[in-house]
Amino acid sequence: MRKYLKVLNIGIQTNLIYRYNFFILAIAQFCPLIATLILWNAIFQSTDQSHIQGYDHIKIVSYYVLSMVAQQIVGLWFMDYEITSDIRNGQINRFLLRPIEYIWYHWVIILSRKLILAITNSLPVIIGFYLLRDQILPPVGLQALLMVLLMSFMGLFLNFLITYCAGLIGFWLLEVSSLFFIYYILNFFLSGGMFPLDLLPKPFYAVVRWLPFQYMGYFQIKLYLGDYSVSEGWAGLAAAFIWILVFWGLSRFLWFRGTRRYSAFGG
Amino acid sequence: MRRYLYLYGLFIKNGLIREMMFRWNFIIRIFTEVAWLAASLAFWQVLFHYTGRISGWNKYEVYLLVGTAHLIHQAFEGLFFSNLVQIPEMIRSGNMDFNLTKPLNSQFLVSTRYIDMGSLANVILGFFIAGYAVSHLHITLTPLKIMGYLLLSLNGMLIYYSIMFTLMTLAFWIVRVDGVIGVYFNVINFARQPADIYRGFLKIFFIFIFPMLVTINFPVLVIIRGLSFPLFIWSLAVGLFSLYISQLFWKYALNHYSSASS
Repeated sequence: MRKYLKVLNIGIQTNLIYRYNFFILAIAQFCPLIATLILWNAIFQSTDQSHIQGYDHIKIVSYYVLSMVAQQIVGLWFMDYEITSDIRNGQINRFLLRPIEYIWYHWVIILSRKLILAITNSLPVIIGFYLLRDQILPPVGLQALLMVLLMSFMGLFLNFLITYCAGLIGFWLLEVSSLFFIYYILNFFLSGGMFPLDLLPKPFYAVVRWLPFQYMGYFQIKLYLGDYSVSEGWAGLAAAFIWILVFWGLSRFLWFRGTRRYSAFGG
Repeated sequence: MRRYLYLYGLFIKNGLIREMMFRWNFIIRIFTEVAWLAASLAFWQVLFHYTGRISGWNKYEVYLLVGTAHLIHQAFEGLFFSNLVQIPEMIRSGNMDFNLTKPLNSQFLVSTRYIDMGSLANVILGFFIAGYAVSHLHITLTPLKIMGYLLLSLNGMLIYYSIMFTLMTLAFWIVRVDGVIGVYFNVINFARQPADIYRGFLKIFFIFIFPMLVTINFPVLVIIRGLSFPLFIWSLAVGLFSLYISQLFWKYALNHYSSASS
């Protein structure tokens, strides 16, 4: 356990070096949100209905703001690139020799990033939600909020496992970076990042609800808004847990087969 | 001039050879952009399921916007993007010196060296979507309209180039600029929306102060609504001016460049 705490510490320090970079990007990330909200404002003005599939204006605004927060919590950018480049240039040898498991090394690095994010962003987010309380809906209840936090952690771990599996494809294919980009787009779309999934035509929505991606944003937002009850939250938790087991098994399998076939480039 | 054309021919040939070497990457890159295009078309398809028009724009007009955005972005990415993002690394490692010591315009060399054929293949797809949209719009296309569309699309691409090039030139002072690349990709989201969702001051802001509507929306407006002559001239002025500024800034930056490790 102590060695992983050491990794956590190193991860936090490297993240702090590039804080300006991080800061600029954090501000810029509001641009897509603002553009989307202007668009939805125009949509509500263009129709005579005040509700679109159960969403009124304030609920849509809340949805997209929450979606942005969810992406900060669940999103993992470039971890798969790091894994494939480790494999390609032989850096992974270090981990085969060290008493650290590769998967947990990455998980701890991710945790360190999220910890920094939580420390720096929690307060601004809470203050922002308070100041904008007329524009953004509050969580439907304390129980629901706790459920949202729990599910967010599950969503992060699920995304981690899927991304980790994707990174391990590097054992078989050398140039996969573009493939990851397809996964990002798919993930963004199917986790409800572009629009609430229940706006999809019914047959599509029925399919999407069976996929793991909804637990990386959409599900948590629906819990927060009260469209899903806490007991539905428990059902979702169980389903997310099953997906975690599936990808956990897959990651073990890929790691086992991959390291067998791996020939340690440069070694 | 002839020397530059000859060199560009060589760059194209070189680009083709590289794509042939990494064929899978080429194919996957095409699919990546197709996935993005499909996602944004699905987004608008879903929205138009609930409303007939958005600020006066119907579905096919927005599809034309999506296709146009695709072809302009892909042309920019294919011709310039992969070169521009290498500038910071070249500055950091000192490889920039190789570009400066050649008897050529250094901005030309750092901007055009590598050509990404996968993106250029996507330009064709963008034209295809745009054509599909127009065929549903009951518009008579005159040669003048088409020329105006193509000219303003090219102009939009040059504006993107100038913005990105200027941002990358900042690397002479700031070491790490990937945040800046992120800024670019986030900011251009304003350009992808139908122009009329912006009202009042915002619309003026995005035309005259931060001309994000000039890049993608104006070429589309030439076809679907017609663009007034002053705005047409304004667009070209913005394009030329931003190109000029980017060049000026580059020269200024080079004067302050002292190379790495020397």
